[in-house]
Amino acid sequence: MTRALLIALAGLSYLLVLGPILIVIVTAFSPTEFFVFPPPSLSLRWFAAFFETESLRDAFVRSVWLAALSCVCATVVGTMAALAIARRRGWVFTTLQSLFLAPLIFPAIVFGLSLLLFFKLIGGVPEFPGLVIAHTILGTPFVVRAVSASVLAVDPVLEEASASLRAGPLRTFRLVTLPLIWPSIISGALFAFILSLGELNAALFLTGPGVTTLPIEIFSYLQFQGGQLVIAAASAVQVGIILVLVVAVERLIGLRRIVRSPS
Amino acid sequence: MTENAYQNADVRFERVTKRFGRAVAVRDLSLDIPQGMFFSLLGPSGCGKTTTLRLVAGFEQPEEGAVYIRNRNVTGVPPFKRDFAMVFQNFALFPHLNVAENVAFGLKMLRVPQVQRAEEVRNALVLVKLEGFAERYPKQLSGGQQQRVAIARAIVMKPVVLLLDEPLGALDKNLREEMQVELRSLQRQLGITTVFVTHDQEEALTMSDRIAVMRDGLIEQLGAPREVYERPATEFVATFLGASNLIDAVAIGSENGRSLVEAAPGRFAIASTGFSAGQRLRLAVRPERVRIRPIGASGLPATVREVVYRGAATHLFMESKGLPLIAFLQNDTGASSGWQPGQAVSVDFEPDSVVVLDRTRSA
Ligand SMILES: Nc1ncnc2c1ncn2[C@@H]1O[C@H](COP(=O)(O)OP(=O)(O)OP(=O)(O)O)[C@@H](O)[C@H]1O
Ligand SMILES: [Mg+2]
Repeated sequence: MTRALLIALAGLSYLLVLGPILIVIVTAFSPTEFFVFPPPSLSLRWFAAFFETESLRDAFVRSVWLAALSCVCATVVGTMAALAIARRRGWVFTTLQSLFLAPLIFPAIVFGLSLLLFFKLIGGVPEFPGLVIAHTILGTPFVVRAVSASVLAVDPVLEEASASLRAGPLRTFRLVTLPLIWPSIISGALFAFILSLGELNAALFLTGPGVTTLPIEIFSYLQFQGGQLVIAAASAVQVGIILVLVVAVERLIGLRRIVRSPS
Repeated sequence: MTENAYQNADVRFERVTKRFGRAVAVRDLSLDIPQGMFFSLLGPSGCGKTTTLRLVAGFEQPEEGAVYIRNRNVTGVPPFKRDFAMVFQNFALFPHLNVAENVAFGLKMLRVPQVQRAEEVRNALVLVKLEGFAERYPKQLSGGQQQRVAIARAIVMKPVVLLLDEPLGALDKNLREEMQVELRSLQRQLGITTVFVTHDQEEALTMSDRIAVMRDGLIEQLGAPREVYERPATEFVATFLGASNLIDAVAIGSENGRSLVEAAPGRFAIASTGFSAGQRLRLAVRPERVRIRPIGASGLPATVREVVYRGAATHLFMESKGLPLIAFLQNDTGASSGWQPGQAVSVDFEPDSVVVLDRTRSA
């Protein structure tokens, strides 16, 4: 009885989470002019329309670049921050830790506005670099969190063992610490990438005419042109990219785990 | 307590003090560990054994004094530039590397060429009887096997000094005793200077050439196992290493090159001399040196309180005029049997079984 209830509840939550996404994705393959669910047949018509619409295509390419660059920056900054503060005690490091995690709780829309003002204050920053900076800052906490947790799980004695075997700090990091924490670096990076790809609030303030991201473009497209199905196709492409990345990372990390330390 | 008599000290401490905040972990320690010696640091938890070892390794830096490894002052030198190898308490094997890669790690750092490296790794694995395990990962090994990998990884470095911090603590009793013997014979075979940390007195007695008994950051006594066990310098050593009967007495004179003392149970002779009459003494007698005879024989009168059969020995708990006494009697000839609680007996011991403790350094 309780078992049935649990299964029903689990099913319901999956339905709530996945249902809307599935509807959008299925709709993206619709051949009809307007929203019909379920679609009478399947076609790639709206995907073609998406890639043929210059503003959408440009925004898409820019978004992917933006996600890639800010993901790399966030990963480097976040990993270094995590390595520097994860194991330290005392109020200085606790404060630093909270500072690095602040963007997680700060409303992104306020953050976007303040960053815009800040850029104005220092004499202006071009749109694209500004976006990279914004998304780096927003993505960093995810990396810090993921990497901190795994740094704390690495026994410091392993690093002493490495030093006792004549490895200096750099070699110890490369040969001992890094191999043990890199799955968390990768998953932090993945989060930063996904976050950037879908980020709307901060981008609202930092994009400008001709320099928009896909979420912004989708937003304005919906507001002014009303073509729903091409937007469904855009979303499907976005979801597709994320899915491919998640599966790739999962396989990479999972596989390495199996190869390297079977239990 | 310090011995600077050795020419070839592989490890030397010169008046080393190490503090953690206000706590002093090692106090003004001077120590020489000669080449090839198996040296044990023995003491209760928190006495500074690990800190002493980590000072040799360079994982801790002293506030005062200097540390030498084979005549090179390594004070302030980072660990990876010191000539030592270490076996850690929980082995600290690299989980992402297999056995061969773990053992090869240090050789790689020393830039030993591939072919020679493979050869040395193979030899080291043979030495610790792990030939067939090169491809395994640490998680796929038992505790004892991981222990051997850790030892192989250390000795393959041919370090000046091998440091071991309670390396057998994680093993069960049988394996532990087996590894004690193996480790010792390996150490003899390689002739490698070894500093071994343990809080297990039997382990220290079994394995060491020399034992330093530590307490509160100080070396309380330093000597060969037999010396430290049979001639404990202080009450702490007398009770930390095995059991002792502690007797307060007053010197009353001397005869035939012996001293006569008076304690609560009565008078007896001790082998040490040079006391003035009336001098107060703290004496220790090992329980296995105590002899029991039927009442009426010469000796101190006592009453048996409890008899505990322990297999190889029988432990007799007695009381003599308010002074508790213990005797360990070997269960070999039957001499130990037949004693009953409540029975009045006569207790005595050879004069040279009595050790005079240093009262100034007692607790
Ligand atoms: N990193 C540290 N920070 C603060 N105090 C420390 C530190 N390391 C050791 N101490 C203190 O120094 C003293 C000696 O510690 P140490 O670890 O050397 O003892 P030990 O003899 O190895 O004990 P055990 O048998 O429990 O391992 C202890 O009082 C301990 O609390
Ligand atoms: Mg210790």
